[in-house]
Parts: sequence; C-alpha cells; structure tokens
Amino acid sequence: MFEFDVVTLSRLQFALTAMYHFLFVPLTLGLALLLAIMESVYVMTGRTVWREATQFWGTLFGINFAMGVATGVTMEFQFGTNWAYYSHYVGDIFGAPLAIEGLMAFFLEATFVGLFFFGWKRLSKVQHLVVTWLVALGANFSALWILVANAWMQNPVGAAFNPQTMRMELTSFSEVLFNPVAQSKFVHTVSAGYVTGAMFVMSIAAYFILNRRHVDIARRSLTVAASFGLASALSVVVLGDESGYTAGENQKMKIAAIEAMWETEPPPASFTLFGIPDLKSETTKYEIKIPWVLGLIATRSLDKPVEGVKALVERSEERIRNGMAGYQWLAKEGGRPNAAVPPELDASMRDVGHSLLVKRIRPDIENATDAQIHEAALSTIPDVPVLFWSFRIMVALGFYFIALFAAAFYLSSRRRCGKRWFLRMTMYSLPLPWVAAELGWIVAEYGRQPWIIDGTMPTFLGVSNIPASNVAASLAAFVLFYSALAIIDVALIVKYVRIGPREEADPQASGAPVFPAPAPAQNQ
Amino acid sequence: MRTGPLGREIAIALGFKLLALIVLYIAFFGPAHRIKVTPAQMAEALSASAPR
Repeated sequence: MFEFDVVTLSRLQFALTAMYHFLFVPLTLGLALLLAIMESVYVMTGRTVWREATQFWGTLFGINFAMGVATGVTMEFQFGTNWAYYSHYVGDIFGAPLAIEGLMAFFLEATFVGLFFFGWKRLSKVQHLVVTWLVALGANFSALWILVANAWMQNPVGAAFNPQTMRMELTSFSEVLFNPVAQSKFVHTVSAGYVTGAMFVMSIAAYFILNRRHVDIARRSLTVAASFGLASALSVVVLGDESGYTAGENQKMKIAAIEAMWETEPPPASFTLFGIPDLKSETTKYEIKIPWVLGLIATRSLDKPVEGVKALVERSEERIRNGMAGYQWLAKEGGRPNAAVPPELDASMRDVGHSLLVKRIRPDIENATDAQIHEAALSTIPDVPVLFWSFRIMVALGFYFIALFAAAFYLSSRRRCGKRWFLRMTMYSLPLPWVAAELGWIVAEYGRQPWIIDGTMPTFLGVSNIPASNVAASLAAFVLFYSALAIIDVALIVKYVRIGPREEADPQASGAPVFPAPAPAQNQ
Repeated sequence: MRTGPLGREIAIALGFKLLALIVLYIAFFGPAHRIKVTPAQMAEALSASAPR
C-alpha cells in the first residue's frame, strides 16, 4: 500500500493539481475553436442567430477560462519547494518551454480573451472574428509548450549531463521542440480537447432541445458540434495510435504494462482486448486477443516482437550493472569545477540513471547484492492493473465518442436530431470526455513511474529534503482551495446554462426548423 | 453581451482565487520555503551513503 512519505505526498499533490487543472484545459481548447467556427459562420452569413450562439457559448467559455486560469500556476509553485532536486537537475531544459508558454501563448490568449468579451461593440465583425481565432490559436499554443515540456520527461532528447554543474543542459532546442513524443502528444491532447468542447456543446444543446428552450440556437450548435466532434473523435483515436507507436519506441515498459504483457509477444504481436491481470502469477487471465494489432501499434510491423515485462526487467538489470562504473566516478568527481567524464565511461554514464534506482534499497549502491539489483530492476514495472484498465476504459470511451458523434452527424444531416433517446444519451454523456482525458494522463504519467525523467532520474531522487508534514499541510490546503473553486465553477456554469442565450428576432431566419423539437415528455 | 451580473460574479470569483493563491504562496511556497540546490548538494544527494 501507499507509504505517506515526502515522495508519495509530493506526487499526490502534483497529480491532484495537474488533474484538477486539466478539468478546465480541454474545454478551453475545444470551446475556443468552436466559438471561432460559429463566429465564422456568423460573419459569412450575417445571421444573428450565429452571433447569439457564439456569445452564449462564449459566456460559458469565459466562466471556464476565468475559473481555470492560474490553476496550473500551483504546479510551478511546487517545483521550487517539493521538487528542488528535480528543478536543479533539469530546470535548464524543463523551464524553457514553460517560460515560453507563460510569455507568448498565455499572454496572447489572455489578451485576446479580453478583446473577445469587450470587443463586440468596439470592433468590426471581421476584426472580432480575427480576435476569436487568435484566442483559439493562443489556447493551442499554450498546450503545445506545456506538452513539449512534458514530452521531454517521457523522452529526454536534445540535452546532455554536465558533471560540473550536476545538471542536464540543453544542447538542441529544436530536438526538444520536435521531440516525436511532443508532436504525437500535442495532437492527441488537443484533439481530446476538441472532443470535450464538442460534447459540452452537444450535451447542453440536447438539454435545451429536450426542454424546448432556445431550440433555434441549440439545433444549430448541435449540428456544428456533431461534425466537429466526429472529426475530432476520429483524430483522437488515429493520433492516439501514434502516441502508442512513440511509446513503443521509447517507453517499452509502459507498453508492456498497459498490455499486462509479462512474456515477450512474438510477431505478429496481438493486442489484449480484455483480460484480468494477476500480479502474483504474473499472467493475464481470461485474455481475449486481437491478432496483429499490437505489432502494428507498437512497431508498425508484423515481423517484430514486442518485449514483455520480464524481458525488460532483465534489460534493466543489465543497465543497472552497466551504470555502476559511471556512478562511482560521478560520486567521486561530480560537482567539481573541472570534472569531465572520461571517454571510456561514456557508455556507463548513459545508464547511471538505472543504477540510481538501487538507492531506494541501499544508499551505498556500489555494494548492492545481486538480489538488491534484481529488486531495483523490478521497481521499473509500473502499476500494471491501473494502467491496463485505465487504458482500456479510455479507448472504449474513444470509440463510444466516435459512435455518438457519428449518430449525431447522421441524425442532424437528416434533420432527425429531435429523438428523445438520442438527446438523453447525449446529455448524460457530458462528463465522459473528462473521464477519458484524466485516464489518458494516468496512463501517461503513472505509466512513466518509477522515473521522473524516463531512464535518467528516478522520481524519489527529485524531491526536496523537507518534512512530509509540510507537503501534507499544503496538500490539504489545495484540496480545500480546489474544491471551493470547483463548486463555484459548476454553480456558475449551471446558472448561465439555465439562463440560456439572449435571443433577438432574426430577420433573415427562415423560420423552418432544421429538425423538429421533441414532443413534451409525458412523465416529467 | 451579458456583462452585468456575470462580470460581477466572475470578478468576485477571480478575487477569491487571487487571494487564495497569494495565501497559499505565502504559507507554503514563498522564497522562505524554497529549497536552493547547489551542484555540490546534487552530487551529495546522488552519492550520499544515507538515504535522503
């Protein structure tokens, strides 16, 4: 079970703040783009119903933006207090994209959000439309830089260790920016945000149609969200597959854990659709497998094996032993002004991170026994059942979204979106994109353990020398703060959904409904 | 656009949030709480014979 030491508490605090922050982010990403699309239709057609729709969804966007803004700042607070060793070790690299995000993207987004709200009567139609697109662009840029920073933790490229300063230093900014993990993560994450935005609009539109309120705006919003959502949901799955491939290249243990794959899967590797992982026997019971699929996802081939947990543990053992010479040199010379790695130790230095895993078991790692080295290698296995189930629920939800948006697209194109079963199903699906997104982050981050920087720095070495009680106290304060914010956020959104859009008579509206509103329910 | 009551409510919520963030920062994360790590401390952390 969990031991509530400073490492666990610091991780818990970071996870809590990150997951809370990510309740706001996907909706901002998705709604910003939907606002831009709706306003574009308004500018092109001149129909006031589209301006009203943009303003209504803009109000909800504004509430979400105001409540969400700066909820991520608390993560940056934590780097300096709870994660001081991590900050020293990689601050040079990790800090750069975060700073760029703050300076460029956030200011772009925040400035234009102000113009979006207060510029309706001060800017021309086209100027306001440009502002709305810049809000959407700014939101996406923010996500890009944060994901570049996160991807570096998953695949640390473009950096080298300096034994004099005892830190990783940037050697190539372009490698960090064009890190394949960052690229695949970015497109997968923003697409998930678009799905969230589309589901939000579609669910609330379904609520209005069911209650026969604001039907004109609701039905148009639903039609836009259905097509945008379908394209986004398809993108999430396709781009998620690319994330699977990059993990198959760089984080083989994560893939093995997600698959609960103890033994190496011979080519063509099959994908486990369902099973029950059993940690004691290191097997997966009642497996249902789909041939070839894992080979295609993880290796893009049908003739390469996918390594299992046991083989990867053996590989970790080798790397722990290989890194010992480098570690011993570093323990003696590290931090000295003239320290320079001898060329014959270059290969060993690449595996020092693995040797450091032994430190959790015994401090004088150079004297570790075979059993202790094996125990350290076993610590490279993440929590298999959590990853196995999180991934499968996320993927199942992804396919559900495709089906729901496809149904919405089909029904709205046939002007039959007024069906009660469909509207109810859409309305109750509202929380599901958030569930999928949070599970995605659990797979990505919990699956990276025991590393804070994959293969380079174990998580337990990144924390500060502070009492666990300090972290526990700030964690409790965060829980209170974020709970209060969540209550305010939900209360404001519910209040303004109930009030609904402000509608004016549209002189150009045809008056003919795109699809008929449902008949009032008998038992309500 | 509806800026009256919504603007007021958002301003109050933002004020509350700003205040809470300032309090949290001062109480737990301000300069007094920040840990400065030097290269020597990093080397010590990696090579220390006692667990940190």
